[in-house]
Amino acid sequence: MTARTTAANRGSWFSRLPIRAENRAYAGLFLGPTFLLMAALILYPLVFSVFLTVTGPSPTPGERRLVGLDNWARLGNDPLFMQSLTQTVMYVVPACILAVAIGLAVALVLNQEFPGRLLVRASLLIPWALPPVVVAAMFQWFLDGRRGLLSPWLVQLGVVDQAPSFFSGVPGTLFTLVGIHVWKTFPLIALIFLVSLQYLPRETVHAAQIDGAGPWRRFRYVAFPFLLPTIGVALIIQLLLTIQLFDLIFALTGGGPGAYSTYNLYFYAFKTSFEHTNLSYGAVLAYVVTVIAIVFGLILTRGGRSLRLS
Amino acid sequence: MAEVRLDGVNKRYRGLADDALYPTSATFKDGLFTCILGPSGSGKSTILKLLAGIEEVTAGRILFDGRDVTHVTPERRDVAMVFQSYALYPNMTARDNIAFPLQLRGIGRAERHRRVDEVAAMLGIRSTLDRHPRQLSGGERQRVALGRAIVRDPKVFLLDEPISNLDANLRMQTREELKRIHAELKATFIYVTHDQDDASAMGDEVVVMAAGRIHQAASPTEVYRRPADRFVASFLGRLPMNFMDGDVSVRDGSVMITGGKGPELVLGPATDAFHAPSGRVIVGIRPESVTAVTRDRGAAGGVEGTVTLTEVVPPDSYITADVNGWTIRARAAEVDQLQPGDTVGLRFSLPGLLFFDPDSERRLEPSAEDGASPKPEVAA
Repeated sequence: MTARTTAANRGSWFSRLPIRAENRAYAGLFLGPTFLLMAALILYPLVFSVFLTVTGPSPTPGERRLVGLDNWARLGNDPLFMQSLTQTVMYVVPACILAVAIGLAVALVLNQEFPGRLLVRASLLIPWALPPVVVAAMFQWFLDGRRGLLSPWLVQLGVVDQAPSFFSGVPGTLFTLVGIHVWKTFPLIALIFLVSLQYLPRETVHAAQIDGAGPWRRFRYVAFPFLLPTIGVALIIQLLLTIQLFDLIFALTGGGPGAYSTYNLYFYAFKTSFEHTNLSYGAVLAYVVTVIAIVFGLILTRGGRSLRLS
Repeated sequence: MAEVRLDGVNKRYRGLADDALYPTSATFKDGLFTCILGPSGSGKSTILKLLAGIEEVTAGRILFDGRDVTHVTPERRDVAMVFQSYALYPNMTARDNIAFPLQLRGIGRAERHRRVDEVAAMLGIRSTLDRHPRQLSGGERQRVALGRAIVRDPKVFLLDEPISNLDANLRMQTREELKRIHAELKATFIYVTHDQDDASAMGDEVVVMAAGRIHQAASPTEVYRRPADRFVASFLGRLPMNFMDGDVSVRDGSVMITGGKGPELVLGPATDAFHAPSGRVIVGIRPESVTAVTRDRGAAGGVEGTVTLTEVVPPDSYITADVNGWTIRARAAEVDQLQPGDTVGLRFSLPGLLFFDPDSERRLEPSAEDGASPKPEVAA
């Protein structure tokens, strides 16, 4: 930001809003309820959760006692925390790569003219629109080792000798969840790319074509550099979606099989807070997830800004 | 080098009721600089896109040197195109932009470097080669786009208003340069523009288009002096042509137009060479062919009119006069001394008169004796 804009931005944020002075009171009046709601639903829990992380249960019922940073220190010697963190990475990395690759490929196909394109574009969003529990139930039926649809097909087609088990392997089950999660989220990513492709300058693509570039090189030299900022944004969106993956784990594996093999940090925080009712440590874990999400969220906003500039 | 031919080519975009290009046959001669001139929506850019192959024809054939390329993809047509937007690759330097077609053809690095330098020297952009398009001025971008086309040594150059985004001075300079480049390369240039100055400055041949049809294809002087129809007559020229509806006759040694409304307009004494067309016509005469003289000069001859408007179009000045209800624009020598309301004498140069059929609006040849009436090359 230049010195001039900074100077213009001085003063309270409220006085900087494009609102005429005589209408300030109205503006306050209209914004008020929203602020109250936000304070009650976001600000209060945020402050309260800080309070939770520095307190512990007290012998007196209904009271909490200060424990300082003891809850935070517990992160250092909690093997399940390290396992959940590692497994979070195991969810995030393949989910980001797959969703962005598949989303981009699908967007490129849907950007072509072909009969029935509108129908295909519309149906693209079905996985994204389905409630997670429905998705979970669907895949449970589809992938079940004995009664599922997929296993008999794979055996009949000779792909595998015996019915594979999608929900009992370690770490196989985690990757089954990654697959289902990608299936559910790639439409959003594809849609982001499809929107971006609408702004790809046609003349530049034509110029490349006339210069002698076939489809692959037109993608490699024109579309891909153009989409690069969007790829960054898509990666971060998918990262945020995957860090917060919870419902599929909850509905399909409950964190198993084996010793917490499909836990991620988010799920671990939930378990700690609400099943082991250790609200303090659960809040600490939730904070770790929040910090990771905020860091990448900031990168996302930056990325979005540079996207608009280009 | 190639001769480019359209054989009954027709284009209609999907979902539109009218043809963007009605069935058209035309030949762009080998090694000539042909300008396609027309207002927006005339179909001139459509022709270029069809020739480049980035649009498919609805019907008809496109031939390069007799070879049917109608269904050949753009990457295999061996044409180069310069876009109005320049369409440079933003992530590549100017050098890489120019080298891109060579790179796609698998030409080695050293050879690419050499040829880019050669082209850059020709265009005077050697010092900008390491910059990205966003760091270049409009003129420099235009040159890089041109360089990208030239470096390939293609059979046909297609240029889509490549200089219309430049300022007036640079535009003039670039016209000269394009002309020089064309002379050096001796390739077939097809240049689309809505600017008649582009066409007359550069074109060996001008193809005038409107509403999806070719109206005339001839040399720049020919389309100006002998327009094929009323549209061409009105589209070319610095100022709008004067058009008058009526019957032309010679009475008492004077040529006059008798209109439906108001009294006749006397154009001046008839000469032996003058032959009046028969029946109702549209008479056209360019403002340049009508001279306005002030009365106090005592200039005899010509009809009197009242000045309604004066305008300066350097180096000339023009007035618009009302003559018995006819509105005539004429060239005036001393426009500074003229004001609306003044009386002037108008003298018409009879060889400058053009006659058009009121129905077809095509130009009528004055008479059989006039002889050599060259058929327009291209049938509309």
